Amino acid sequence: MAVIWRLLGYLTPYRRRVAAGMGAATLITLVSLIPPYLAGYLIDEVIRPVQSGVLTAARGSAVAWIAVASMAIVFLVRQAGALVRLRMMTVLGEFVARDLRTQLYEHLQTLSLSFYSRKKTGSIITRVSSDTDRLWDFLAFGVVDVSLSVVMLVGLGAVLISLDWQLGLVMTIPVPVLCWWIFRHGERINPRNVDVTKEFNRIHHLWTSFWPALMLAVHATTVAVWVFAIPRLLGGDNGVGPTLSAGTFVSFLLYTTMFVAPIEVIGQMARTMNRATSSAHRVFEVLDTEPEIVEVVEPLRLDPVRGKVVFDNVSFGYDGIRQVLRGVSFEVEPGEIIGLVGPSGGGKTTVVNLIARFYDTTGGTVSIDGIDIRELEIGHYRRQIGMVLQEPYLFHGTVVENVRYGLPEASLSEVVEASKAANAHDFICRLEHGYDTVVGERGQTLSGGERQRISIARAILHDPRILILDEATSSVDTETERKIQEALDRLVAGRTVFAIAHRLSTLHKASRLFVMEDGRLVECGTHRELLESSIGTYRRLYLMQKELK
Amino acid sequence: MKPTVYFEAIAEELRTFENREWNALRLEQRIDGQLWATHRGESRAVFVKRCFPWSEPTYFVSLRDSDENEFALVRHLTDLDPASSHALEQSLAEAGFVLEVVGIDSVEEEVEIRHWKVQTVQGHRSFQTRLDDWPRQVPGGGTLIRDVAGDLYHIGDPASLDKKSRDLLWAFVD
Repeated sequence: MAVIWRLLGYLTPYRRRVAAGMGAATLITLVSLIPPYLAGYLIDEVIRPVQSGVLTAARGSAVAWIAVASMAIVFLVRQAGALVRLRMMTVLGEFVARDLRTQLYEHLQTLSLSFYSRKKTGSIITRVSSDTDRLWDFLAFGVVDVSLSVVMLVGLGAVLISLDWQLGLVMTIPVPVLCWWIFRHGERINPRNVDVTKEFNRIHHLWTSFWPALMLAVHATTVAVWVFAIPRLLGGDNGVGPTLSAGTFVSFLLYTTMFVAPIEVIGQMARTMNRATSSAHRVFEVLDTEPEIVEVVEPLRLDPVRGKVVFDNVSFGYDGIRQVLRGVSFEVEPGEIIGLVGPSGGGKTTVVNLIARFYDTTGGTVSIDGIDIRELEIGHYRRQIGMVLQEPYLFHGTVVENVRYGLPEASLSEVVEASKAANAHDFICRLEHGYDTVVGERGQTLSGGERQRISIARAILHDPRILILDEATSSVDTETERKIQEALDRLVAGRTVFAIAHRLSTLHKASRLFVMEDGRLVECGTHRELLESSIGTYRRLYLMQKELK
Repeated sequence: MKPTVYFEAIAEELRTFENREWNALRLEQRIDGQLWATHRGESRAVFVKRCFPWSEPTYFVSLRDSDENEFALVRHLTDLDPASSHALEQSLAEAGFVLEVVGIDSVEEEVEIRHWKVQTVQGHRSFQTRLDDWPRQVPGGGTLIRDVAGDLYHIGDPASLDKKSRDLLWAFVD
């Protein structure tokens, strides 16, 4: 129930709208009670008196017309109430869904990379779209429907008892029992089994057996009313006349039919509520996830970052058990180009992940321009970092939008300049719609090399102080590699660069090479220095690649 | 954050071209209708390619030779001398018009085709678009519609259109 209360909290900012919607719905419920009463009144006070001659036909006709007019008014009031209710609650639902989605979206922006590596993209999308939709439906209509069904049941009970307390009790006493039954059923169908197939079968079985049983119980109550009412309607053998008027009985029967709908709503609501609770759990699970990368209270801004990067005895593990980096220390001066080389799993990508502060170290410190990276304002710092990855990510949009991604206010001249520098302008102009070509989801309409050059143009325009290149020229043909390398040579000038490459020949511009192996920095030096070492890892890798060529 | 222009060579090349070399670029349409460009003493038959055909159709026109190599890049018509500007304007018109829409009379759908009747600064026009070719919002403001022939219809400020036009356009814009 706590989760339902938390959900209802989202209605708080819209108290007036909720009150108006509930007011309209209450009005609908109350006026719905009038027609059966009028039907009974017409029979007892108009039709039968006219038949027996107690009331003149003219007088009876006048009263009947008043009753008909009253019914027409009831109909109009109901329609007006329904319109107000629908409008108020639909708009309310949209507001609540908007609030939930905005809150979720904003919270997702703050969560760390580790969260996204644990969760599937589809699961996150479902939480933002389908789950919030379900909650929208529950809050906008479910809550109101259940409240009104309860009001309707109470109102019906009161009217029935006031009409005839004995029959009223026959009809109303089972209602709390039925409601308790529905509640218990709701608890039983709450999914709890890890075996999804078994769980669906179990829930399906519970529904198919429960629903007919519930309806049978409701109709049995109606039959009980008939059983008790008929003898009283016909009169006793002891000469006492009927103790129940025909009008009251007709009213009673009409009211009895009205019992079914709210019980059905409550019955369905048990299911809706369970679904809403599941969705709410999933949404709140995301909202309650604390970001692992937390900014300090008064973060510092380096404006601009110069690009000095120092690792001081850094250790790190993704799962807290296996250490991926062990006591790594190095110092990189602004403007240096560092090549990170070594066998797979050596810790190269982890080094650049820590520089971008996608994760925090488990031991030691990473500092930028002499300041601990954890003291820096994350967003501002990351805006000064550029990444060109092996698989560049292009968004569904035009080429110009993708190039401008890091600097939306860039002019068209700057976009063209950056694209020329990235050796991309020429192929962009060959596209049917030039820079306005839509590249498709993840840039699927372009080749790998074209995507790479657009991402380099994006990085050039973004103008980062620290640049990370992760296998930027792998998986492309030689000619494309030459173009990309040419573009990269322009891009790296004047910045601190960390370049990961398996093909050692692509690191010809590196001022130093760091050789990572088994989470440790095992060698460091220039290409020539490392080759001079007779037993070094780098020399071994270099000779292997040379042999393969 | 404004980018520091570290790729000085290219920026400088563009600036130089803007200030001096573009003025030296000469364009002419010869008798056969072919556009010829002369730059730094070299003449070549070229065709025009709009770099931003949707968002800024009148800016950045790439002049390309028969091998599709870029011979020159013209930032704007006003960067050229009047005769060259006129020649380029004609070639652009042949490559596809950009018409300014001031009102929409009707939008009707036929099989696979949407039929537009509009009022433009140049007069009444009608054109067809594919059903899945939706009008686009352009970064500089306004909406652009591209017809099946490649001509562009620009609505500078959709909000300033009359009510009927706005109502007709409403269904096609986000």
